[in-house]
Amino acid sequence: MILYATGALIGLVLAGYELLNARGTVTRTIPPEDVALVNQQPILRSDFITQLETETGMPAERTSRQQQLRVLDEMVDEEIKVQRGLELNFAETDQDSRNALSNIVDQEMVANVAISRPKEQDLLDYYNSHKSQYYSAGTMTVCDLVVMPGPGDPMRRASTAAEALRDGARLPQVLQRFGLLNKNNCEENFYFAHKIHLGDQLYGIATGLSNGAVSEPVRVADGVHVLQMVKNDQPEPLSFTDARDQLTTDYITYRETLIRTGTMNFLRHRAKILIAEDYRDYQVDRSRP
Amino acid sequence: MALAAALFALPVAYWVHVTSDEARLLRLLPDEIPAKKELNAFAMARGRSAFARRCARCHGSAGEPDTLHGVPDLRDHDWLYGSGRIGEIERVILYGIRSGNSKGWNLASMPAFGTAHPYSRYAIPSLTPRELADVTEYVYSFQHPDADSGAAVRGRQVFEGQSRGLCWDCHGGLGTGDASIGAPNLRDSTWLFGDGSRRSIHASIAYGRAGICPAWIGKLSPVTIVALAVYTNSLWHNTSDNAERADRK
Repeated sequence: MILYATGALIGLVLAGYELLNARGTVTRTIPPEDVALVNQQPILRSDFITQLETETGMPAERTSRQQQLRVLDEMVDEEIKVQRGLELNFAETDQDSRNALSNIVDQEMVANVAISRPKEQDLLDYYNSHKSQYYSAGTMTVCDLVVMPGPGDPMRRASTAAEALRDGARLPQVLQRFGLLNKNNCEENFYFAHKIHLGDQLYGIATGLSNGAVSEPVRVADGVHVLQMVKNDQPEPLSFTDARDQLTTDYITYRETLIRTGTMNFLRHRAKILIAEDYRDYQVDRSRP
Repeated sequence: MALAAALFALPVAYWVHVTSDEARLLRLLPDEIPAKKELNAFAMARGRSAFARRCARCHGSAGEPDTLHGVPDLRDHDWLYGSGRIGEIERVILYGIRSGNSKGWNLASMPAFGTAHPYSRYAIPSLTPRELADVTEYVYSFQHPDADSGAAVRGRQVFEGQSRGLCWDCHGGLGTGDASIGAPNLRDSTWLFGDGSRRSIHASIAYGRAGICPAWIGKLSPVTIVALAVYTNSLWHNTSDNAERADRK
């Protein structure tokens, strides 16, 4: 009985000492996976070895003791500086640190989705509900002919040139005779690239031209254009198999967006956000797509 | 009384023994583990069971490839990141590949040159359909002497181009890859994605690739991660031709 009481008393004293001791729990032994502890913050052996091999350019087992100690010293220094930075609240005040934190939290939110492998059925369901997005890129070989400065009305010259092309005149002769410039050398490219190069208006006309067709003259900001379609391979619907690679990426992106939106809504909901009187129309709990 | 003491002592002795093996394993330089027979056996047993539970879903039960999903063959000598050393494998398991962990392998991805925005990190130009076909033919020609030589010559110009393509920047001027950023060797017959046909090479160039591996730090114990690295290393190191290659290194 006395033995039990003594044991309990010793236990109580030890627990009381630890509770009242402001230092908290301090580990005096270094876990085997760590090479050092700096104010209880571990430096992982794997990180140390990577740093050692990066700095010396040789496998760790071939490095000298001196090199190992130097790298360890650098890593201890780095850890001390990081801890000092946290004490000085640089995570809050330094813009680079804020950017890094913001990026890493963003990545962390979606990490599980980014590394997941979607199930076939999920991909198929996504494909079936987004079929209209899955088309081949579509290609066009189209000549973009622009009227160069010269005598006469540019619209009239372009119109005559277009008629000549429709009648079967050869392109070099038409360019020379009516003073036109083949602006894109009858470029073969994807639909999306032509959209960038031609601009929305000309692109819209080009997509409607069939093989061999010549457009009416079109006046845009840089002059009067005529389009001659050499070959128009329009986008075709892609089968599930052909769309698979793109589908996987799109499905993961879709899931990431859902997770990111949900997490941000939760964090916003949890945060106490006060908005100034003149910005009261700001929606704190908005759902971002 | 003696029986009770024995029942108490046996688990304690086992725990001390296991903990001691774990500690010794963790304190060794990773690449020195195979030379320590007893510790290596301990790591192999633990690694094998962890591999079956954690890695087999993607890597198969024996580390076999899956070219539909870009899962590499862990049994061959062809390492995408590093050279297959235990320390390098441990780092991949710890921090992953494009895992969202900032210490993971995340330096580059294969751009999607047949799309309007080939690369998410910075602007690089798309390739035209002709350029895509030519580069495909050039890469195809590495393994197929009967490839269209005219297209391959044009493709080489794009591959080595300074303003378009820029393939050399990751894959090297000769297309032999760069294991420091995970750019595969295009000259050998090992394909991470697809089967090396024109169609699959074209798909990789046109639509891009970016394989992934999770970061296991914080999810698995440090000793399990080292054991997994030892076991994974053994998958390729235990075949005779690979062992010879390793010795030559």
